Amino acid sequence: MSAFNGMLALAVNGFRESRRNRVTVVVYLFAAILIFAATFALEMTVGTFERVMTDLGLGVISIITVVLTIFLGSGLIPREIERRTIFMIVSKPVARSSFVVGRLLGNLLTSFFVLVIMAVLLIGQMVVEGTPIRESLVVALIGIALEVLVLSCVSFAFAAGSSQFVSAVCCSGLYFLGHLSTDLYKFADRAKSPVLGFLGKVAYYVLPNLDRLDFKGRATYADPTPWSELGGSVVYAIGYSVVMIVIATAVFERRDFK
Amino acid sequence: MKKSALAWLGAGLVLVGLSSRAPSPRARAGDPHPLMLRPGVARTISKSQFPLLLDFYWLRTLNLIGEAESAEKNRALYDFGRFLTDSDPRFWHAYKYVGLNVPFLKGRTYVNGDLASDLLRRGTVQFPSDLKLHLFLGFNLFYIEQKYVEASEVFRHGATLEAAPMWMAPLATRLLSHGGKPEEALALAREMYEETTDEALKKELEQRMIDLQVEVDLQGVDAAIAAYRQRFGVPPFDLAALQKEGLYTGPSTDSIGGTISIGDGGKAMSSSLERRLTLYGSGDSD
Repeated sequence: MSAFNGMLALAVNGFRESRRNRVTVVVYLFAAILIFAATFALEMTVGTFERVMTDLGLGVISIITVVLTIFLGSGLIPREIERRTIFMIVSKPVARSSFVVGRLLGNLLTSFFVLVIMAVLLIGQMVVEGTPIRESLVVALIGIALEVLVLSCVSFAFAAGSSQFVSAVCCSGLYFLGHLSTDLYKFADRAKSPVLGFLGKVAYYVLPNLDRLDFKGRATYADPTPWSELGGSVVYAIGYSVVMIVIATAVFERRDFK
Repeated sequence: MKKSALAWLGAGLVLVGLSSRAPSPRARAGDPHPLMLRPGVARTISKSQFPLLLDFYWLRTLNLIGEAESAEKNRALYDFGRFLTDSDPRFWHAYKYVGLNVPFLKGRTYVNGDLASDLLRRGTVQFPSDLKLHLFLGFNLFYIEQKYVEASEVFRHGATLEAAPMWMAPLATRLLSHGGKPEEALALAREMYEETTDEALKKELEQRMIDLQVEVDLQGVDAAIAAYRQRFGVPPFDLAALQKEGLYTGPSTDSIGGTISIGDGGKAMSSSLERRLTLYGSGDSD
């Protein structure tokens, strides 16, 4: 129970710290400006108002949350080590694994908070403009939330054992590769060399398959997503995140802070 | 830095300075085609933000529509349209707006009509039951490209679609007739007459079949006039002149009893028809 309380305290502290962080404020401003700037762009969309509104809103939300997640997730642990504040925590009766999970939860809280604010802004703007709120939009927002979850855990796994820069670069790389994983599988299928084909398929399963968490394209045409497919994506994202958390705690427990 | 190194640096700079020149006028003029990504490449590099990228290009396209005031700019519009529709074949607005705006009136003739038709044709393949795209393609084909037979095919299909205007089916037959195929037009009118249950359309097609029957007769006379003109260099004065030369052996009346004569423009005409089933006398046909 005390371990859980400690984790919770770390999560809440992390959330408060992130809120104090100027980057978060800038992101709110950036989101508001971009989403409201859309109104002016929409003046010239000639019959494609709903499409552009949906794409622009979801695209901006996705970019901002991904950048924020990578920035916060990659920097949190290395910054604690760099500022030596880590010693204040590890000297207390808090397990290192609790520290990682607590910080991760705080980070997720921040990212989800930003995501929810932006989603509310987007939906509010759509309501004002008289654009219908479709199920596909909500599904796309859930997809972005799942992507944030996976990326947060991946960035923690990298940050647990490396510097902020290395973690951010690797996590960004994985973000792009994660969206290309389906293509990777296709290339592996077509590879003439069986070794290359095998390696390609291994990479497909090892890399986070962010493609299956991306429903933005369907929101463009309000295409439905079967709940079974969405459920499968939720399970996949949670499973992948758990694996990344385990890796992050295992690496962090072996890390020497000197 | 050593003096020798400075000397080499100076010499290098002089050589670069002397050999530098502005890009050739041709290079500066630029390619008429805008710099575009291939759809596959664009999809791969933008992957998770592909809808956003497409919308960016869509807004650029709309911007270009607003400022297109030359054949080249309208040509570039086609490239944007192809990029958008190849990347997202369901982008109905791209087919419509780009297809409508690609043709450019240069002097007294339209250019880029073939490009517009190409895009609209792709649109009708993608949306076979979309009436507007069929209307735009048909209009583009007959008015800008003067491809009457193909336009007739498009209108013929369009006439079968829901909410198709009543004039579409008769127009299909008229275009086919103007394209030099009155027999086919007659067969088409008969086919549509039998297929339709719309009484008003049936009535319209009944009249059109009569007109087409007369048109078949008159085009037979037109062929004889053309042969006369080839032989003598001038059009015949009257039908008797054709009969005298043995170029026309048919009756002097059409199928519904109207008198056939030769008009001022050297074209056959009938007293039973107020106007021939032709659009623009000098238009080319396919």
